Amino acid sequence: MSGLLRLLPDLVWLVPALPLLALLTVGARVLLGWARGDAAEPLTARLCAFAAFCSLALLLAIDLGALLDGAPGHRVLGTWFASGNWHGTVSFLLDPLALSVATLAALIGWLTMRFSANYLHREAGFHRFFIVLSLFLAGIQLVFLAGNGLLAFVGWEMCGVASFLLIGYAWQRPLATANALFAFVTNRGGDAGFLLGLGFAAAWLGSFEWPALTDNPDLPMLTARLLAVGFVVAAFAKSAQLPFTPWITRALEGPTPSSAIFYGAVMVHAGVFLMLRLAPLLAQVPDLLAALVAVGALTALYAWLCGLVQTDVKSALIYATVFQVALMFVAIGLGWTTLATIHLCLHAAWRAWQFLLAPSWLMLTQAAPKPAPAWLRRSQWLYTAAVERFWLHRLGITLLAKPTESFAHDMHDLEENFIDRVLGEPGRGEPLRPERPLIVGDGLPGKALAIVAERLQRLEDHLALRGRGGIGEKLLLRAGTYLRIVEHLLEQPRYLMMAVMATFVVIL
Amino acid sequence: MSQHQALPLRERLAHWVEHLAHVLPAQAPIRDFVHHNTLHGFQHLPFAEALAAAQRLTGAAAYLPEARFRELFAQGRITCDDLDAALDAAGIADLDADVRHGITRREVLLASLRVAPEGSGEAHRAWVAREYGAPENLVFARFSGSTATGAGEPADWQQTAAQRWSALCARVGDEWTLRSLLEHLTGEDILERVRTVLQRHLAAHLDLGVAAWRNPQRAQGFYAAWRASARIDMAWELNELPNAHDELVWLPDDPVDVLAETLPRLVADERLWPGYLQRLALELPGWSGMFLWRARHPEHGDGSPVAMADYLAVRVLLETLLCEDLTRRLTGAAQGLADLQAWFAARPAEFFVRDALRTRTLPEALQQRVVRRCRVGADNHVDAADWAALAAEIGNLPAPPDTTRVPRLAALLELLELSPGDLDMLTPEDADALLACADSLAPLVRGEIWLLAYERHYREQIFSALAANHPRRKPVAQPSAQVVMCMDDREEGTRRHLEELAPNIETYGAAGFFGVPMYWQGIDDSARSALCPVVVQPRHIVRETAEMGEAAAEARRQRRQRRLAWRERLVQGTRRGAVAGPLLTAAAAAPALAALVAGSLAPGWFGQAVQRWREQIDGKVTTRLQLTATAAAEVTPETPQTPIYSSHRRRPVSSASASLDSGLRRNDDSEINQRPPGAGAMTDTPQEGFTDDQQAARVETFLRMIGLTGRFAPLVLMLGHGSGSRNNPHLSAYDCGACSGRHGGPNARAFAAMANRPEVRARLAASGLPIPETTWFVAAEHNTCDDGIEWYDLDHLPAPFQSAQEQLLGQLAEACRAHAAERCRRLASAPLRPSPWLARQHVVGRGHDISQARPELGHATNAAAFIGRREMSRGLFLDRRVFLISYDPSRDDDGGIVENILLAAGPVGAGISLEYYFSTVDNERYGCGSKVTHNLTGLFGVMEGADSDLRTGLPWQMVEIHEAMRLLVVVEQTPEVLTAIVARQPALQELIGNGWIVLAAKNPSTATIDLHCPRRGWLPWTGAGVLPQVGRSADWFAGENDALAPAVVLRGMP
Repeated sequence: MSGLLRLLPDLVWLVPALPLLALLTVGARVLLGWARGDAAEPLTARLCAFAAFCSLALLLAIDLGALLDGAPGHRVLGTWFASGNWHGTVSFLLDPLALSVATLAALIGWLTMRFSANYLHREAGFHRFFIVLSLFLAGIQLVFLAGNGLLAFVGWEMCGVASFLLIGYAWQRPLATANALFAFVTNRGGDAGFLLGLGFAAAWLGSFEWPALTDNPDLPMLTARLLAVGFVVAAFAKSAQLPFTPWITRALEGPTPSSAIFYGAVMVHAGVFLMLRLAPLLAQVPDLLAALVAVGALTALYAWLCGLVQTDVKSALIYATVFQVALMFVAIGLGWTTLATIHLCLHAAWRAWQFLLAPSWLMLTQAAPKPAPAWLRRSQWLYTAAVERFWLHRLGITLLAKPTESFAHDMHDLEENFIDRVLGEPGRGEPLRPERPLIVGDGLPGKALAIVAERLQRLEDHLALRGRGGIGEKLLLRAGTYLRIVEHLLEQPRYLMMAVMATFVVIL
Repeated sequence: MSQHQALPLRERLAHWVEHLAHVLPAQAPIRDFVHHNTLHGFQHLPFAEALAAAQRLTGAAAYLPEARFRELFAQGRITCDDLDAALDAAGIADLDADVRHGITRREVLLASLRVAPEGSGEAHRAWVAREYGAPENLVFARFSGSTATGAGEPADWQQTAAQRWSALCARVGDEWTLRSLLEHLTGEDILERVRTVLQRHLAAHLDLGVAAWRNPQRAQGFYAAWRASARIDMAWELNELPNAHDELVWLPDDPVDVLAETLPRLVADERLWPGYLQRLALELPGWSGMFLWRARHPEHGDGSPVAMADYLAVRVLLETLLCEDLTRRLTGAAQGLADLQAWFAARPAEFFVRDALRTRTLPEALQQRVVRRCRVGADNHVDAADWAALAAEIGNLPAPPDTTRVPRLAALLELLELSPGDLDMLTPEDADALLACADSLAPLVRGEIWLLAYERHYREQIFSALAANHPRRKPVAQPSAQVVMCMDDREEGTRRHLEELAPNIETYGAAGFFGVPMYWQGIDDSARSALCPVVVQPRHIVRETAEMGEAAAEARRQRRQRRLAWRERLVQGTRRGAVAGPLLTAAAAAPALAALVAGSLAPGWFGQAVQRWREQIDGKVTTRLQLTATAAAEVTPETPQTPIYSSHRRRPVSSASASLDSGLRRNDDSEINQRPPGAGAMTDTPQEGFTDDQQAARVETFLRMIGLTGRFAPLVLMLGHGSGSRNNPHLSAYDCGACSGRHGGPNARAFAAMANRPEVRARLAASGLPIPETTWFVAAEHNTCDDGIEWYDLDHLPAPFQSAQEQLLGQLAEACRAHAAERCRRLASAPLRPSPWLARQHVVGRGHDISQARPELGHATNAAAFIGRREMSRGLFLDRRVFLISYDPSRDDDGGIVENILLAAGPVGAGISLEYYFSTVDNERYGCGSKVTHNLTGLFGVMEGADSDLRTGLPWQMVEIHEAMRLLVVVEQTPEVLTAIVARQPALQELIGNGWIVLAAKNPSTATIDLHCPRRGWLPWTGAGVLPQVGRSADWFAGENDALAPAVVLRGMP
């Protein structure tokens, strides 16, 4: 029994792989046209729920082993790629932090799968939803369990894509797709940070493994700071801390279960998890810890103020979520990582329940919530700011999107009015001279070539085609005569023999 | 509106707002969801005209898509005969005229209905021809050359542009706002820039209990609150509208003055104003409708003033600011409609190019150039010559040839089944004539014909069933019990199964408030709620009190309050508390997770366990009704509160309630008064309980109405109903429609308690309705979601009746289980062919399952209503599609009783049926889309996601299996009596005369049935009453999961 339990950690790759397998199976069914009508739904839902359940069961078994024998720790299962000093490995880090968060995520994932089977019955996007949810489960488990930054980054991206696809679940609504794009683009900022961190790790530590990053107490301050700052930005973006918060409030366009697992329960905590994972590294950089506290506190204040004015249940809940996630950042910044871990788990469990039951708010509540404190209630400015969500979204549009758009327009105009004209475009050439329609050219090189061609043709005309008696004709006739003589000579056997001999000489 | 021209703006505005009530959704906050005709504002028009008018206004579909009808045709749910009869019924002219070669117009139209008007596209046809070879079709061979219409000479673009521009400008007002016109010209929707924040402000103003922090200025009304925020809003700068701040500072304080100031800037012509405001309101119909509803029902708010003028002022102001900004960018100067009209009239080329981009398919290269030209920007000055060159280029494009003609002709000729000889004789002119005839029906007329055919097919089945059942009618000799249920279509199944199991039980149906309109305050309710149809205003309140010692009751109340307070703290605190939030979250996480797991694995078991725990914590309580008043309170007829700008109630309701009032007043002294639709509270205090006389009057009226006046069984069960489900914002829509979308159990309980009182019985006996000592009334409530029965006041049941009650309890439980099995056949996730026990387990689980978007299917199957004795329909399988209303024509020669029934049940049934109809035919516009993305807003409605218009109507999950047809009402009465009733009741004239419901009369003594056609009067039905026969209902429905035709059920006849 215990031998079996000791074997299990090596099978941990199955935890993300099983949902992926379900994804592939369902995807194949959809592509082959086998997933049509009511009858196809139960199989899809059961496959995905079963895969999620197996992940959960496996994790529970590993947990049991960890309880009996201690956590398995860092496990390298294989090499992904290796080149010089660069090693990408398939490794998992099974410490108490990873196991507890991953188990909880697997449980919530399984429950959400079961919830969705009924909830999305007969939806046009039924199979699509399950495919994407499986992708998310695989991704988030990679984030939680991965033993190195590279694997975690793969999971990180899978979560991002899944989130994008589910915000745009109702793709017929322009607003839903616009918000999906907004969330996706905002998260790219965080991804850039993640990549930066990975790049520094590879360059300075020669490894992507988490232990290499965290068990390295003698890093120079600057190195540690640069290493960590990218990951901190990534965490802020994924967990919707300031200034990235607007994306999560616009992410509520998907079906209720997806709102629950992504933004209420699991994915929003991925940033917190990343900080917890890198806590020893962060501990070496006090100014980053201070930044965590500052940003967390600001976000908490922001989310609390905005949450007070929200009039729809999902928005009210999402601000409450961001508020508590921000508190976790504060806790990590203060060095209370255990508290943050416990808070993360408890919060995820409660929000899953609350988001899934958001439609029954009418029955769950009796009266209006306690009004805002008196000092706040009278402030028209703060109220307006909270309703406008402190203009963060508009600022983003004005400061980032608009200039980018103008820049793109300018580039387009530049290309169209200058570069295209200079370089020319295929098929748009015009004849230089109406009597020679064959010679066309557009743009500088095109026109230059056309001019050259035209000159050459004029030369040709001049030399050869000027009719009988031209210089060209005479020269050609004379050259033809000489050539005929040479040919005649070559047909003689002696010259043929000589050629053969010459060949042999060359060969030898 | 012209007669109001002379009035000051304020009064004209009141009239315009009054009119808005007809076109905006009139849905109450979702807690008080009550079914009503979605197009109530058009009810004064005939059905087809009303649908056309609504389509012109909102663009919503009027009928099911033709493709769906053709699918039904292919399934045999509509036949050629039905279509043929529908052509006559629709009143299509010259049906028997000869078109060509002896083919009549009728034949051509029949064939044309079956051909899709727009076949597959040209590209698809070409692909099919390439892949599978060109169709071997004579018609193609003969007509593809001759009928290919050559592209006509391109018209002069300048003339076209001028005409088109004036046509577009003429649309502004009734059909378009200036925003729409500018969007057409530039592709930029200015509303999008402010919609999100406007919606947030609207939701914040209307909020009924989600937000903790409200606008400090909201007591001054929406306009003042919005302005206070907008004045300091930095969004204007960020939106590059810095002038807005100055504008907002100098605006008048009165919204009407704002309108008077800004409307002329936008549209100079005053005649366009009413249409313009209506169009502006219709841009966000959900929000506008909710705002108007709250303006008209101030008693439902939280005290913040809600006035439509506020809303309109903000909308007009935003429209003005943004339109002026856009015209400034477009033309260099801020312009209103008149200026803009002159500006583009002078620049036809620019208009022509911009218009072509929106309306025509341009070649790709040209399109790209046009798009670049049309980009709005300050630095985008294009000279007139450029525009003219582009316009000329577009104007010279050839018109695309019509390629759909020949395929359509081929399909048409195939359905006409011409012989090859006839085909040879067909000339191109003949073909043109045939096609012209086939195209002569407008899309709306085609839809109407399909609907008529669809309805006729079902009607024929129902008439056959009634005719076949006529000879089988037999009263129950010695009923062991009589069960009075709601007329609800869902109870048809319960009644049928109960009768099948116990042939000596009689069942009755009536509007589920059982003639007892009352306010109800249950022992655990913090406020009273009205339990009666929405058009009635109760004058009495019945309270539930604990029948235990004062101290014990108080202790229980405190325990319960503590539990609820903790729940409240948990739910609200974890989202708004800064300190309490994390602490409560930590405390609640583990139980929440456990609850999720348990609820996911065994929802039924867990749900019931939670209920038991709840009872254990609160403590059990026996309750009584405070039913009897010592003396009638002096009641003065109340003048309804009139909200600002709405002096009249909507027409149909007030007339219906007025007549209902007069109808009931005969037996009672005027304590039924009008209640504004959906209102649950009122300003004066209702009388506590009913006096003995009032009780006797209510019992007598009701019993006479349903025809239960003698042969009382030992037990008479009053069975109300309600629906219990979790996680369902539209919960009210599943409850009893006759009880304002609440549970009807308390009414049943009150009625039974009244009918058992000796004082009441004595009065009844005195007025000729003796109820014997051997009869006892009991009450219960049927949960239509999990098919459970909750019995009331059994501890007061006298000993002699106990065995009978136990027997009835068993029979009813068994009937409910059988009914659950029948319901399972329509539920995809239910087990196939379940046993009754398994089925009941399934529906119990379903009711408690938080993941169920379809806890039950509600009224999705409703299609008809029978008003008559149960013998008329007893022994028929009606597939839970029929409202069954008991009425005994033999005791109602002058039709007085049926008149009251029609007045009360007609609007309720029509409301349910029509709401389902409209939400089905256009779920996007009339309904509220899919539940899965719904987001509860302000406790009054749902949005899609966190930023959309408020969605009204029924969610798609409720209507997906609904068959969209009008309610067929069959009354067991002679046509003469019915004609007289309809003639004297304007409300019924409207409903029946305008065809919002279909009326038929079944002769009380013979099997003849007459159908009422608004155009042609009474038409005798001539079909044959032949029907399949089955032993039990279960034999007929087992294994089926679609709508089923009626059948004769042999078992269960007395």
